[in-house]
Amino acid sequence: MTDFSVNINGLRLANPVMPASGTFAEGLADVIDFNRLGAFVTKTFTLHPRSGNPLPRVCELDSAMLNAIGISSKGVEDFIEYTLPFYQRYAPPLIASISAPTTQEFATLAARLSEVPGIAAIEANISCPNIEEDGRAFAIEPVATARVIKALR
Amino acid sequence: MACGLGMCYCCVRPMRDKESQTLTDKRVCYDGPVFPLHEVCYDGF
Repeated sequence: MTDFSVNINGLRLANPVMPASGTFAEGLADVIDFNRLGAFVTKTFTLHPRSGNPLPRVCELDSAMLNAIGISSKGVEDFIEYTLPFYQRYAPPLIASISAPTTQEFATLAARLSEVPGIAAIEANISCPNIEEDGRAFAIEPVATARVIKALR
Repeated sequence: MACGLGMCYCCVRPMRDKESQTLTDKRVCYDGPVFPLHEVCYDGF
């Protein structure tokens, strides 16, 4: 059998298939065998609950659709209590996708997750608004990006 | 509904918890599509 395993800075995946954030959740568990994935990446969640954008969040176009969900999240404690046990039933490592409006909140959230077993890595969703920089996304500014990564570490 | 699998959160609607009376977004495609009448909230109610 061919070995498709990859090593990402010490994180070993059985294969390089790492779906985008939130695309493999409980709704797909009855459709495919989740153990065939290289890793899970959760839907992005935040430290505190947030409702996301007002409705409607989706717009149908002639040949496509647009959506703007606005990071709907029940918060980290809800994630730990209700979502994490679902993923722990499967073998692929779990990557937690997190977001925050400030650098400090990224750090606080990462610190909370570091206390929780079963999370192999953190994905920083830095396309969200940075309220310390007039709402511009962290990812737009290299310095802001570096600040978040440093705080996470 | 966009994904129909409960993952994209496009189809959420605010539903009222019977006990606490608080509103929680529920996914029509995954948590529903049928909901108890007392949970369903509309603008102005």
